[in-house]
Amino acid sequence: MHAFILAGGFATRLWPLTEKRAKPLLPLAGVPLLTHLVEKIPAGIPITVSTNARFAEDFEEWKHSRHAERSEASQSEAERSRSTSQGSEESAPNSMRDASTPPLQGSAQHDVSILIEDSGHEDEKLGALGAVAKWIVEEKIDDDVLLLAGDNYMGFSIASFIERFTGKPLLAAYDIRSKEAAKKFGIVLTENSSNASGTIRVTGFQEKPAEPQSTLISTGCYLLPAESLQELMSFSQSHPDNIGGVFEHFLSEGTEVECVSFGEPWFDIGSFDAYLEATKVLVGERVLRGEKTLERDTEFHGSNVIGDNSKIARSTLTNVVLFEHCEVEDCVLENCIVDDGCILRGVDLSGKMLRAGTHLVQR
Amino acid sequence: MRRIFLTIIWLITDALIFVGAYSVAYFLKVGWIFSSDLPFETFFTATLMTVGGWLIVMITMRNLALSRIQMSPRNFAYIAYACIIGMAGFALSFYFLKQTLFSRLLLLLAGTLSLIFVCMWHILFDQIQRRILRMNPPTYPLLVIGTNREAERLIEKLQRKRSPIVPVAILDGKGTSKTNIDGIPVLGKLDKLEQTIDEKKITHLVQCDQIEHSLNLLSVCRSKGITYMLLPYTLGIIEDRVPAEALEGKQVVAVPRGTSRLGWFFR
Repeated sequence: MHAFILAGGFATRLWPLTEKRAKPLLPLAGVPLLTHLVEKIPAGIPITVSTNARFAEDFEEWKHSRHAERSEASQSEAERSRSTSQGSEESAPNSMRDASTPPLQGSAQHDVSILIEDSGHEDEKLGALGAVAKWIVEEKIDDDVLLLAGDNYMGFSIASFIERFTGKPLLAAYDIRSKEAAKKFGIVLTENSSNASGTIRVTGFQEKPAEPQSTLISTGCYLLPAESLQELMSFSQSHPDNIGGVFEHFLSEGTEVECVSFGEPWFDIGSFDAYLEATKVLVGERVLRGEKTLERDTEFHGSNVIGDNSKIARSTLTNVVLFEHCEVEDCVLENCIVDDGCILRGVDLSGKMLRAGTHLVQR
Repeated sequence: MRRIFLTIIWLITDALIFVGAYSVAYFLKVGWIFSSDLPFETFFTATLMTVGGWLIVMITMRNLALSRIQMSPRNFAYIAYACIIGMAGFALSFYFLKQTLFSRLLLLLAGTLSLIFVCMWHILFDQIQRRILRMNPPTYPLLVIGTNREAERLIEKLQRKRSPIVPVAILDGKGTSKTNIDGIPVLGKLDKLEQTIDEKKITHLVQCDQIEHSLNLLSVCRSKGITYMLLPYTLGIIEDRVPAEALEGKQVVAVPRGTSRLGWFFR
């Protein structure tokens, strides 16, 4: 099996957070979204991250820093094992978490390669399915393919998803439990009962319907058997950007499609609201602090993330994500995402997303 | 650079026209013979003493501003105020030089001629200036944010009036199927903002849509030294006149309630 992560989008809806970074590299609860995803993929599965030329360097940097962190973590783990055996209780360093934050799940070493699409802008990109097809051809992939959307946070276990694979095209579905909320997504229509392997047979799809027939929505997690890749490639020629459509195509061609339904948190980080909502769920009612943060006379409410080297004084923060090197003084911030290097003094902001380097200083 | 050069030329020519108008008034009233009662030399010296102050009044009234429509009642009114102050300044200067006053009719004629000549020159110079500032590459390239009908109206107006601020590119936060408006290309979404600003050497940005991005557009403009403008329509204001006023010194955008023309002065 080979995992392919789609990270080639330009995330224009999340401007200006994605002005200088790709959406999968956005920190979610202090950790890049892509790291959350990669850590969930079982060890031994080679991973290809497909990105565009504009963000290629950032992904390479992410890969190297992740490798360095992994090496450091392994070293610390070894040291901790030694000291634990000697009776010491000292904990390993952790980049961003409070005392109650669990470390990321999984500690698998992954073979990650970065595939760069030859596109510098949205209007030049291949399309998600087009990128998969190109990769299959160029890398001569003849294996089962685990296809993942790089901008999704998946709370469920990908290992458990893979375990249910029976050789038929498989997708992960999330029960959003609200028909109103389901209207914004692709709906998966299924039979009522699951089979022995725990999968449910898919009977149809609805794309962002006005009246959803189900609350089961398609996530960005798919498993394609090697035999279906030829069909995928021919479909991609006419629909290069319709990744969900390939499953609809399988059904219309008489190929059985299965799904696994999960109830764990799942987020498509495509908008300001989704990003903040995901942060609230992952962080909970607490403050997640980075390294070298300074706080003075500050009140926190709800879920807050404070990035490395950020300083806050005489302020009230409610559901705020503060990136690195920010300075906040005498401010009231509510439901805000503040990018790197912002300086805010004497301002009240609500529901705002601030680009890196914004200076708002009330004189 | 073009604008600085044009402004210097404008100031020099305005000064010459002011002095010229007063000289013409002298010769029309006194005749082509230099009078011994009202020596031209003293008259001319008083005019030269006045012209600097008059230019300062013109500048402070923003009569040489790029955004000022020269052929408008408002502009004529401002030039008239400046010329009245010019007349007062001239009378005072003359009195200081000669310890006596002179023909009131000559003063009125000089003031009237200065008003007429300056207004005519400003209309003409504005046309010349627009032509020079619009020459490729334009001195003030404008980036338009938004593709709604208000943006279309603005672009059409700027093109039709041959504005010195020339729209060169459009970006739309939501994405649009439009490829151009009135010949101005729609280059994509806001992720192309910095690239467009750098490539097109943008000096002015006008936001016509999506008020939620104002904070970040302002941030980009501040960091790159670009003039930011916002169509009042974006805030839901559809009134023609939206003056910036002050509440106890704090600046506010005012949408006055329907008052009479006289009420405008006292609101």
